[in-house]
Amino acid sequence: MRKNLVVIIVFFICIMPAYTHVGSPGVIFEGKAGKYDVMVNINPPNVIPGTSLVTLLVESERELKVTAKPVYWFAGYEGTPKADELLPVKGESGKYRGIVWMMNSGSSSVEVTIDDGDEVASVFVPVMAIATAQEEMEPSLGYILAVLAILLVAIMITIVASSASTAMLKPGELPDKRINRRKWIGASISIVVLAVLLFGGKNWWDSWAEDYNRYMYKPMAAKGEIIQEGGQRKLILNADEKSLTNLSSLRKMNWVIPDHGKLMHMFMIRKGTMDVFAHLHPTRVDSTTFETTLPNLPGGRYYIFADITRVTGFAETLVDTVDIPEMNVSFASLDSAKLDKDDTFMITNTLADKDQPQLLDADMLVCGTPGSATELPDGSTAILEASSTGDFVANELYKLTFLIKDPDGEPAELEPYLGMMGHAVIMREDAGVFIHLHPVGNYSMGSQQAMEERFSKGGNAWAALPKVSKTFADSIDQVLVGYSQMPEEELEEIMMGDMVHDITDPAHEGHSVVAFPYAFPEAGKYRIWLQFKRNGKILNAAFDTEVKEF
Amino acid sequence: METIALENNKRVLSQSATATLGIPLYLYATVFASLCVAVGINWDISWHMSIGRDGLLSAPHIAVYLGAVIAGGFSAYEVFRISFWGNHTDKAKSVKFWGIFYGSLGSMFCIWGALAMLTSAPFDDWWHNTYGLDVTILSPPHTVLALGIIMVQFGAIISVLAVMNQSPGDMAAKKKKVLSAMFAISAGFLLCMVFTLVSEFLRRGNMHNVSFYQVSALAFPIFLVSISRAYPGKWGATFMAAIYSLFMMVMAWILPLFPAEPMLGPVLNRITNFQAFNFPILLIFPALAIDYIFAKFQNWNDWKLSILTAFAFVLVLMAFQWPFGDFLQSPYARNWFFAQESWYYAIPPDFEYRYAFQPWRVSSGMALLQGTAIAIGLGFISIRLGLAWGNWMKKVQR
Repeated sequence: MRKNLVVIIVFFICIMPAYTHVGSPGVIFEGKAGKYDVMVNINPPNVIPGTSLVTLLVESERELKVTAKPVYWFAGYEGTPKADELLPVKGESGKYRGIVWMMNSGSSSVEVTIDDGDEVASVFVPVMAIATAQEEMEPSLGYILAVLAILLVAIMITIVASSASTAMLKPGELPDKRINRRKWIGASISIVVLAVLLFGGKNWWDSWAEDYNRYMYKPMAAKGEIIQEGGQRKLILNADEKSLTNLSSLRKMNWVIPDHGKLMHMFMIRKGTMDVFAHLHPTRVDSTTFETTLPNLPGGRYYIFADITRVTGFAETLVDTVDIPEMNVSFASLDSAKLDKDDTFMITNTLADKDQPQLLDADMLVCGTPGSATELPDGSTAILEASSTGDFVANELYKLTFLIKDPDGEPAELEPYLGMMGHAVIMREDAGVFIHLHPVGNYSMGSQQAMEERFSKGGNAWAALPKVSKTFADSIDQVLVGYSQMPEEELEEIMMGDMVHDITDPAHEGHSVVAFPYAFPEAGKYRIWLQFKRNGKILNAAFDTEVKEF
Repeated sequence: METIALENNKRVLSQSATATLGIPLYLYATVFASLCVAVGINWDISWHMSIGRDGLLSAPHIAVYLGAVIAGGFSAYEVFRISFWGNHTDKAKSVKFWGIFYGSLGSMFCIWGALAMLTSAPFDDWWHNTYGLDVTILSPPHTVLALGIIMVQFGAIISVLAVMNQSPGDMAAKKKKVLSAMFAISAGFLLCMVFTLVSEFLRRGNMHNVSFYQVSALAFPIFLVSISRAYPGKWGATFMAAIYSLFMMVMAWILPLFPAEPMLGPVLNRITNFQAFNFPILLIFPALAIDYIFAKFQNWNDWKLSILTAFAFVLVLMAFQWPFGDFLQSPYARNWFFAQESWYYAIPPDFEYRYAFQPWRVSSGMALLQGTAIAIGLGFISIRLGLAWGNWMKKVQR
């Protein structure tokens, strides 16, 4: 994939899956399938059973046979159906597209296989198969059905009226008064019976819609609370398992596993102004309770977005808002043992007030915009490359590419942060869209690893898990203790997992560029936070951009 | 030249009348349409159990649409022909409706049925896009389709019946025989459709649960009894049940001969051929009982007759189906004849209760007694309505 590969696919996105992220459609994967660089984009269905639209982009001169199939967490590879072929998109070289049916709700993935005649290689991308929307009937279809229904009612009344009267007359016999009376009685009775039947049918339909609504995906409810203790502010987040209306066995909090070495990635963004951003890693108090000491965040109302992943592959984001009281806590006074070493936060200008920050502060950063450089606390600069047309447009796939330069203006040498060369968080100003991205895409890597491990073992997924979910949670806590005692390099190695990171590849862009494939789902004002590590320090940068309507 | 041409036409007409025994062609068409939908629906269910995925124009769907088109098309043609080009005799044999139209009651049923089937297609498509592709038989759009099919099939019965009722005495024996057979066959296909509609309650695993008998008592007697009453011979219900049983068996024997591979995942049961829909339930025995009672107690009034028949239907069905349920769960039924190995691709084949009754779903003691009493009550309602309906059917002339 070329560095400046922009506007690759036009998505036909009309859906809003809302599980691992908020309001951001589709799953995007970028990586290698054998020797091929591929990008896979999956638009999961918004009703289950339904179809995912799968698009593959691959750089190859050869003609390839591309297939895709669903692999469910609980059914594994043994339970996959015959794969469907993705067909070349006419006029667009290297682009293949097709559909994959998702029959059951739950955690799944789509395996895309490429066969070039010599070698067969595949990648798989986690997809949560969940009903997320209920559609309204289009007026035109409504009118057609209404006309047909009226016609059916009219004919049925005629049939019943005739059945009770003229149909019983011998050939040639003419209807008399009695027969005519019977006709009207028949018609009247049929009107009453049809009215009752239609009323019953409507209730049946309504109950079906209600059931659908009940089982439609709803994020797990969570409640954030601030307590003050020993001169510090602590955030307690309680997940409410009882709020689950569907897939509760897959979504138990005891199934939570570390993703990038952490059980929970919590992002806090000050509501309205978006000028404060924090990436924290709360620890588990009990199966549904997580807590973290807050860094020196200014007071105000904050959005909480807490990403979790489970061993069942089911990843989701817990969402709440919380009021943080003002309290000036200096870093020096923070009990460092209580803050995770990977926790970080930044203060920038507000979204509305770009040119004239109200509170100029030595620590405050000014957000960049596409194409312009923004200076970071250590003197380095970050640039978000503008799209080829200058604007970002909703529903088009971009590679959001950031170029980092050291204070001398030379390409900077980035280091892995939580297993990746960079993390990006994107939010629209109204919080209707929130997403946490990696250079490999926007899927949960923890979920992918959990599924990979599960599929490699085969057999019955449930039988492989402890009967008591608490036992599983305890074993994960032990793993985390192990992580905390590990040298940092070793831990980064684990967090990078199976990622291919080949610096001998001539196309490798060094460690000064980090790029994230993403399609903004809707138009609006967005802020993008970029996080990376240089010289052992976590650095944050932020960019504002306005996304135009497609 | 003109005379010769006329002579030729006459000859063709008389030949065709001999071939059809003077039975109107549209009657054959509607009975054939009834067969098409019965085959299509049975095949479609098997398709969904085995392959899972289908398109609008899958082979079973085409069979169903063909049935709708034939029944609706022939009937609509018949109505238009009589209304606008028909002679006085044609019109005198027809029902006049909406001021200008003339047609047989059977045609009206068929038109309604075809229109309902047509309506169900966009409705079902929207339903799937809104609530997901349902893997259930009983959903509102499927019910519209099923009602349409039942009406087409009922239209075929009524069409045949009207011709029989118009000339009961002076009919040639052969013609009478053919009409009776057509009547029984179309009634049998109707029973297949009714069974399909309620089959979710009538699975093997439910045969020791009283709800099986309650649903059966409500759904089947109304049809069996009305046909028994309207049929010119003694064994109407028996023929109807026999056609249903034979049809279900033949479909269960033929479909598994063809290869099939699941096209939707997860696939928990790897199958390689079509899975049969169902072996028929033993309706033949209560049907025999109905015909026997109706012949034996001709002089009883319909209320008294309904009570006796309700007891007979439920108890005879229980006496045969309950032990037959045990047999179907046994290894002796896992062969091509009984087709009990048939298993949906999305259910694990090692399911604990694949060949066993779930203990909590087996009715016993007072619950069984009370449930049976309720079944008899429901049967009584169904039978009484069926008798009234049968009495009406006997009188249909047009």
